Amino acid sequence: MVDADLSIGACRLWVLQDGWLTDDGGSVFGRVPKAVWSSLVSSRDNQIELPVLGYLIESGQELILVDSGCGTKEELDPQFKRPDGDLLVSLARAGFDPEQVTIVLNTHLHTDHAGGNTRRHNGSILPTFPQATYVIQEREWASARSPHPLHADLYHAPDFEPLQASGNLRLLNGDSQLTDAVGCRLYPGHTPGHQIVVISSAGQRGAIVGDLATLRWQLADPLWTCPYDLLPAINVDSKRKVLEWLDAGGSPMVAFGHDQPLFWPIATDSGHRT
Amino acid sequence: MTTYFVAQWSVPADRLAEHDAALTRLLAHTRGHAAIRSLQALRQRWGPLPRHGYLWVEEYDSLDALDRDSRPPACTCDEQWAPIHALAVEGTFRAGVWTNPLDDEAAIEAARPSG
Repeated sequence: MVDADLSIGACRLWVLQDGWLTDDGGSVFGRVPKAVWSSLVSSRDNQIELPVLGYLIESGQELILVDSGCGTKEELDPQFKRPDGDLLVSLARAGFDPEQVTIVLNTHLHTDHAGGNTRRHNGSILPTFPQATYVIQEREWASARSPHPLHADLYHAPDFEPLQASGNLRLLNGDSQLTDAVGCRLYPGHTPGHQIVVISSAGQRGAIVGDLATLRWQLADPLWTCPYDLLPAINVDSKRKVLEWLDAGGSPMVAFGHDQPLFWPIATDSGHRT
Repeated sequence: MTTYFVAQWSVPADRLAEHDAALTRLLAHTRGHAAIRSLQALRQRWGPLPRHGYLWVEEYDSLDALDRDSRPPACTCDEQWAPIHALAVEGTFRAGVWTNPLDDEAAIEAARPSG
């Protein structure tokens, strides 16, 4: 799965990995009983391992990075590990340099999705991708700068504040098209300004849903909310709208922030959705 | 592509001695960084920066070389730079990553006297 190379029509897509996140299963599945979630994912002492993923899309002249991982500014929290290197190593394995990235799109600004936006050098914080425009929803920007106490420890100002001073920040107010094939859609719930990426090219479709759903089963059954969703009821509505899009046919690809990409619909044996 | 870390800042006159001592320590520390191809530390004699202005230019082979040079825990540069940041006049410290708008070879040719 790591560094996988896929294509959607004329767009090429690479799965980049910034290591693994270990979390309590209850912290991921919330009200879903352990008897149920433990039949879906393997765990040890209730701890489950989730990949920390970013995606690289080549669409025409644009090289779009969707989420930048935890970054290297700080020592990794013990909750994270990187046995195969960080996201920049993964990017290099895909054959690209940070200077080639033209757009960085953050699904949201939690530090495991935006920490790699910036790097530290000589005590200064600088954009990791100096040629890129960073595309963030205006609502997310506002939420990150003045976070709700429930999410305060998930945002880290050095991940995003320096982008404004450097002039390579583009704030969006809703849906937008980045290239002929790639667009972003505002689907709040996990955070107030969470966005997903939709790809449509030569009759094929795909979506990178970020943390709209942490794991595939939380998308398959929209009522399976995650405790990290700041606005769970709104996220249920967002997931339902995305499911309508996915269910429109053609077996679209769906990619997550912390689960392997797959083609929709998923084959589940949990009985929650087929 | 050759990549430069460029920083500029200003120091109040009454803190110059303290600042220049910190700058000397920083220069000594930086000699240990093999990835830095060249280094220039300049004090503005006349120009637009508030007095007393400083310019610092580190040259690297690439952005990747700069990145590898600055990752924790190997690098303690933040500590070395802390006194400089503290002594800079508020709002004057600026830093960025720079490249040559021409390719490296053209830049070298441009720098040489034609005659």
